[in-house]
Amino acid sequence: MIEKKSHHSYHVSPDSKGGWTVRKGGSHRASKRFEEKKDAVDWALRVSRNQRFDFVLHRKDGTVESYSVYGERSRFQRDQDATK
Amino acid sequence: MPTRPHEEFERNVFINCPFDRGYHSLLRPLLFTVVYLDFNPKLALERSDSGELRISKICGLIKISKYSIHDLSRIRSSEPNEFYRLNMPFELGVEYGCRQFSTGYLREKRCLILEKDRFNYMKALSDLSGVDIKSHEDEPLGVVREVRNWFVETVGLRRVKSPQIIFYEFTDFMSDFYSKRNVEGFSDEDLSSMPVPEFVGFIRDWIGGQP
Repeated sequence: MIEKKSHHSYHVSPDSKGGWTVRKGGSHRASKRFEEKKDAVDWALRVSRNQRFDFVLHRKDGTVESYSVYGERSRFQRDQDATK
Repeated sequence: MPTRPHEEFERNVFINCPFDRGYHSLLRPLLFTVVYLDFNPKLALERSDSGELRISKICGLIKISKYSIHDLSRIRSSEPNEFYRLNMPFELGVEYGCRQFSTGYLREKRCLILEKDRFNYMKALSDLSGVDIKSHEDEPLGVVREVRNWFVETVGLRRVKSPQIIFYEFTDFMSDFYSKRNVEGFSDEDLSSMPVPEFVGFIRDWIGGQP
């Protein structure tokens, strides 16, 4: 399977039961489920920063509500560090 | 007896649905699922030729598509004095007539009819009584589920991933679609008004392995 940018992201989406799931891109299972959107976003933001993954918040129809880049910035910072 | 127009007939799926923004939330996962299952969605929006009558274009698409998906969930008027929408039931009638009155390969045509709620359609289209109509409940995941299940049940596809997995892949695609188009200079408005063939092209590229 070809790696895609979305596979280096954590995705937060509403589920059919009124809760929110956090899923690593490319995975066929949710990593964690929350009742509240805020809790799902907080958890996903934390692991995205820690793992230098991007963070993507989806609407119910799959479109992107917000997108935060942690992965690319981190790679850029690593490159910057390497030139020092 | 009519001869097959081309080999693509077996893979073409005529999509009969509204194209306004209010339906985009269902149209995107619908298109993704059809392409994901390795079929070709055929829509009246595919080409814009002012010299071509819309009904001629639709009849042409129906004739070259073995399969068709008709969403009747938006035929009801939503405001006072607003007309109900007749295009979708009309095009379903053309599809039905094509299959009913043709000979040869066109009798092999198969169609999926979608509604928001089961039996809603009977209030306005009782001629369809007894016809198996699927309900997506106006949910994007519901569209993926009904379309995927229909391809398994009626078309005979095997070893197809679950509706939930297809929807997960759809959200991955939307994420890549958003971030890549953003870098290329597309605004949110550009993305929401993107021509359908261009959007389908991006789905194909993504499924084909392009990031």
